[in-house]
Amino acid sequence: MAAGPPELSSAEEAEILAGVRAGGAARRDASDRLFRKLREPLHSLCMHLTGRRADAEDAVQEVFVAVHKGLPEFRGASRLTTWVYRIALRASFRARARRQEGAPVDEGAGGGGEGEMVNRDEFRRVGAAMARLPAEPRAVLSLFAIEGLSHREIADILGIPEGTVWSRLHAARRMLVESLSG
Amino acid sequence: MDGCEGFEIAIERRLHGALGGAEATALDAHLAGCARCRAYQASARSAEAVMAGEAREAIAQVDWARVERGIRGGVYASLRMLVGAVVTAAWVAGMVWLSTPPAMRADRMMRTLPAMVVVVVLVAFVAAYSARRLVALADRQEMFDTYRILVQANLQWARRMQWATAAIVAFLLYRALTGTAVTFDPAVYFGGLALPMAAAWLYLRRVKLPRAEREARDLGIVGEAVR
Repeated sequence: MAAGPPELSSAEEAEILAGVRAGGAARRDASDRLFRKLREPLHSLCMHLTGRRADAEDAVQEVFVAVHKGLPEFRGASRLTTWVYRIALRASFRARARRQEGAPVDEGAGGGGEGEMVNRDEFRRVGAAMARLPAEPRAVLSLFAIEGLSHREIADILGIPEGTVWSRLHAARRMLVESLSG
Repeated sequence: MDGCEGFEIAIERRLHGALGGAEATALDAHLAGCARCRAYQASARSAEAVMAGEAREAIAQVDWARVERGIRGGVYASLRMLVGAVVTAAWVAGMVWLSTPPAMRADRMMRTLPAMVVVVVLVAFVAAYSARRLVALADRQEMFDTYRILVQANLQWARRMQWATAAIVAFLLYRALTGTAVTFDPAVYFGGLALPMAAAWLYLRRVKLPRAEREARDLGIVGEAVR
């Protein structure tokens, strides 16, 4: 339920890939289009995985640099979005690993209203609980928190059978519940 | 495993729009009599709502122009690495030049040149490899199994390299302090080479290895594999 739908239709993906293969200005346009389409959901994913806005921005940059360099060799073994999300997962884990041990996660900015204060407490609580989880359950929960990603796409991103994705989500949720109460 | 696990999974499926009518009816009937599953449902909904709110707030504050500038800069990072290699090669060539008597400089420089070219080519290879490391994972099948293998390999590489680099630094310092030569000054030559190698050792020891260990721990790689 986070950022707007990340969906790229197959036709849009094909147009982007054609632009990349054409090279020159068409490649730049295609990369820009992909960036504008996926930047928000990718930022959400990276934010949940790293726990810090600054790290999320670094990870998003790293993703699009890797995409820019790797896209001409993308053979279409998976959907383009699946490929980009897989890159985002690794970029986020690397961004988190770059951070020193014990560095705090973001506590949610928000304004000064009472409702926002409650939100900030909740942000802090859930953010801290997420930060205590290992990479894999954190990834599952973060992918499911992105609006518009279906469980089939999430299974593709993780490279697991479609039927397995629900049990992974359930196991991750249980860990989160324990982390929240711990 | 307990009797509610199937219903908890059904709660997740409904939360993400993947629960059919008959299953939804069965879930509702169960929820009516199971406080534990109702609590699970409330917790799942609440956590997702908080994550969504947090993401929305974070996105509203992103300076996308700055992110785009960072991407443009990152695209040329490999080039910067290559420039660094050329500068290092030039540094070593300078050490050779300074440590050699004027009459022998040309001959010695010609003999050192192939080694400098090899260094630059190696760095160009590493730069190209590093740019593609993130992308490589994207083609594999089971994401986390593959990722763990890559991280473990990276950790082992960093660990071996720190010892190899330390050994080279020790050797260079030993030669700098004890070496004797007619055609060049060993203290300047070996001492000059030891400096960038010591910097590389420090980087491996203080930055690269701790980072690889943190990444391994995050993936649940524990015990001997990490330490």
